[in-house]
Amino acid sequence: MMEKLIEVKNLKTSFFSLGGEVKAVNDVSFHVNKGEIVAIVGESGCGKSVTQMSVMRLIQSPPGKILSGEVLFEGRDLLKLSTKEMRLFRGSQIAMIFQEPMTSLNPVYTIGNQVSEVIRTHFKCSRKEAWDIGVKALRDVDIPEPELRMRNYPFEMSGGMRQRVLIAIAVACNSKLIIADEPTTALDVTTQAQVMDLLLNIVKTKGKSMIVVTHNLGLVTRYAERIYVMYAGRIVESGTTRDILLNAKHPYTKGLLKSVPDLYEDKDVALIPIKGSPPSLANLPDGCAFAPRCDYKCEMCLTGKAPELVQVGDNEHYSACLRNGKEEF
Amino acid sequence: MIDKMKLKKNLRVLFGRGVLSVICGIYVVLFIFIAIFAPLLSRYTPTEFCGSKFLSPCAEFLFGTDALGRDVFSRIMYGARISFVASLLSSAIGLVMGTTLGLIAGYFKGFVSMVIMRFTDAILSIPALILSMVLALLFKEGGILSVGFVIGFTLMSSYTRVVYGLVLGMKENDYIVAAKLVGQSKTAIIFKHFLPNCFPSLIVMFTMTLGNAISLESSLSFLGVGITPPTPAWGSMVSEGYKYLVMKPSLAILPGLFVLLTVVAFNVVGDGVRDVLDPRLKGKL
Amino acid sequence: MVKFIIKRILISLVIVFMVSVFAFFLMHILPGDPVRIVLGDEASVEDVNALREELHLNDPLISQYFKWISGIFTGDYGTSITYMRPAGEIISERLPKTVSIGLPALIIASVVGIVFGTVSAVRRGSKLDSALTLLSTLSLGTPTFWIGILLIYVFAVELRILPMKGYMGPSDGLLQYFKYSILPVFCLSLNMVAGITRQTRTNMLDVINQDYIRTARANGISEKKVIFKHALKNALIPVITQIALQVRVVIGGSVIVEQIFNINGIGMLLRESIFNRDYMIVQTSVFFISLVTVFCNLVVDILYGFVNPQIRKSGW
Repeated sequence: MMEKLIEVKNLKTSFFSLGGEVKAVNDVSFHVNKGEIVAIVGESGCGKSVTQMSVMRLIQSPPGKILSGEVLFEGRDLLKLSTKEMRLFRGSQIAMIFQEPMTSLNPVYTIGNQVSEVIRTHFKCSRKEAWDIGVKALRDVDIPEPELRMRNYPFEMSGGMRQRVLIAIAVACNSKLIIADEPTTALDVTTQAQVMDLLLNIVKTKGKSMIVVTHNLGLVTRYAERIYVMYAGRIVESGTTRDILLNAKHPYTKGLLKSVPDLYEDKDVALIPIKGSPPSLANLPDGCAFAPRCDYKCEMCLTGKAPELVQVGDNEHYSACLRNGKEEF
Repeated sequence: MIDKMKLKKNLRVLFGRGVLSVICGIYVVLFIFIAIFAPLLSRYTPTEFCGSKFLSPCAEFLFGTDALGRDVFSRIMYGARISFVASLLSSAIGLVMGTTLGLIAGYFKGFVSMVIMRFTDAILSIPALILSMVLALLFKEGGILSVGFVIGFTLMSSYTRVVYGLVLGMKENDYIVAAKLVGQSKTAIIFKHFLPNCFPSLIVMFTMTLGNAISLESSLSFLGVGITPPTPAWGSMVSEGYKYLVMKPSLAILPGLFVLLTVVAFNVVGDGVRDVLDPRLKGKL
Repeated sequence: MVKFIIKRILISLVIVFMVSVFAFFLMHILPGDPVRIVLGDEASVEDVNALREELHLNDPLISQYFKWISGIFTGDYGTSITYMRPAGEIISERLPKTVSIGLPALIIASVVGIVFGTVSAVRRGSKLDSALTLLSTLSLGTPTFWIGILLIYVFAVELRILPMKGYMGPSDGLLQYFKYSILPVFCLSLNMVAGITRQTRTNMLDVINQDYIRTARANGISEKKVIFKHALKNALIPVITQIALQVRVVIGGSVIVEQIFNINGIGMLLRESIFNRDYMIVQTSVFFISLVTVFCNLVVDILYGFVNPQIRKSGW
């Protein structure tokens, strides 16, 4: 049995606005084992980023609120920590890398200033020591001439370089878990591969764990060990990458797979987009949230509660669909 | 369906901003109503000597009478009319002149644009009140037209600046480049593309300058270079009443209070219109 | 950076030139003969003409303009028609009074406005935020002349704890100065406090939602540092620009405040001179007011260049 590094149980996060309650994260559970890379996949607006922000307790309140659930990190419930304890957890135990490297660094301070500030927040050390740790971290993420780069401002660096700086902060602080929220989406294709390889390399060589949040199912299959598929604030299917790829049970996962190019060797298979668009989280339909877009829906799908996750195979393969295993489609 | 949702959301933004917005909205409607129907609503004309001097409020003279025995209540209602017309007129003048200059400066590069924009900067560097005081002396009589022009000219430059900024931003857009490439004429591009795209911001600015104009008009009238007495402008009523502050403070305080309420109400409604039509302008106006 | 500064200075010079032309010609196309106003309707045509000749008012406008402008560079600001004394002398007599009211007002407004705006943004949605927002909405719409009169009524007429009007400078003793200037300073700063509060709040909220603030928080930086180191520096840049623009609001406002409190400063001088068509005083004052505004803008632009590394590092 693998040791769990982080386990999220029944997390619920909502945003309250004039328009009513938006259930962004609706009873989500997942876990990441030590040394494991897990992907959370879903369309934009499905709540995958909010889930991670809830884990970090970075939800703006108001309007957002974590309503219930547990986030167990090495057995401690992060949601029960004091504000200060939680703050020191961020950056040191869990590092987060965001989608927009161009705007994720403060434009009016140098790289060195920002990197060593984080180091000094988590380690007792002098400015000089923090600076040196920073230089070393930049070197670790393959930034050329790290001493010079420390004195640069963010605008003097490319997007890929800035993303490396953010990764360097995670490296410098020895985080056990890296949450990468669409880490490469904003970069151009060649840089994407480099940054992704760098991240994988760091995770593997330093024995870290990683959660990759992405909308691109095709991309994660190459390196994620397990995949959670999210739809409308819920996890609708989870399992090993192999199970998800070859033996998907949920119609939404199947739809995602069909809309990703180059996954099947047979090049003649046409890409089939999922018709329609995700429901508004403020106004979820009865029954299964995916039903209105589903080709296999029946009467039962449109009423009652949303279907629960049910085990559909060995290796912790779960799916939340009424038809799971009952009938082939 | 989508439009309905959007409308609902906009209405929520407009009215969900709390009690203050609702009160201000009602106040503005009431203010406009009184401004239009002042002659029907008031018992006396504003310049009529209808009672003894310095009467206290009573059923006949709701706010009492002033130093000349005129009905303060009627004068305040007519004052609303003056404020409303002056602000509407001056904002319109500012809008038309400022937009024209802004479009020209934005469209043409080089010297023309430089002259217009530096002129705009120059005007903006002179305090609005002092500029309008000097301008007011161009006219012998402080009537509503001249005051409208004076304030309009003063407001013009902020319109020029905003429109200029918008046009510069739009010039980079692909559809403008495309329109040029297919050989559309300059005037066509200005009137078909630039101007319509400025409309949302202009409507927002217009509502927001209304409050500004009312405040400027009352200050000018207070200083004696706005609407000439005995026409009942709120500002000049305050300045007349100031002489009798010790004896009857309400003569100065009351009309000023209405300036305050009206300007605040227009500002709040303007903020609401901005948040619905063009939230980008937040903090810029 | 040098290139940037030179460009800003050139632009400022053009603006000041435009102001001088505008102020000069506007004053000179105003109807009404200043000499008639000074000498009265009974004066003979010869006397009027002699005075016009003496003041060079019969020269062509262009040469009058150049005479005035070259005078400004040599420290000769022309002669005031109303006082028959050098305009520069009169202005410098009146200036200290306006500054002793205007400067405290500007400083207080900036400090209070930035504090209110920051607090409001950091505690957004709280009761304090609502209260401050309501307060600034009301203050922004408050006519200066009205609040002045109201305060005089409350503190001088009813409570009798402050003088009604008049002026005492810092040289007349600090207590006297304080007693006489507290109301004018308050009136003058009210609208500015509201404006700066709103601007700071909007900018802070805008900055707080930026990605780099999220990054700082995600890296465990303390909330205090997030606000004061990361957010405030970015948010204050546009606020400083606005504060520089307030200089002209102070001068515009002092026309009203000096009128109400009967303070013999620049504001009152301007009002009189505009009525009397005292060209030299008005032209010269307007010229210097806009010079101050343009200069403040220039300084802010250059400071902005220093704060903004993108401009600072743009080569020369």
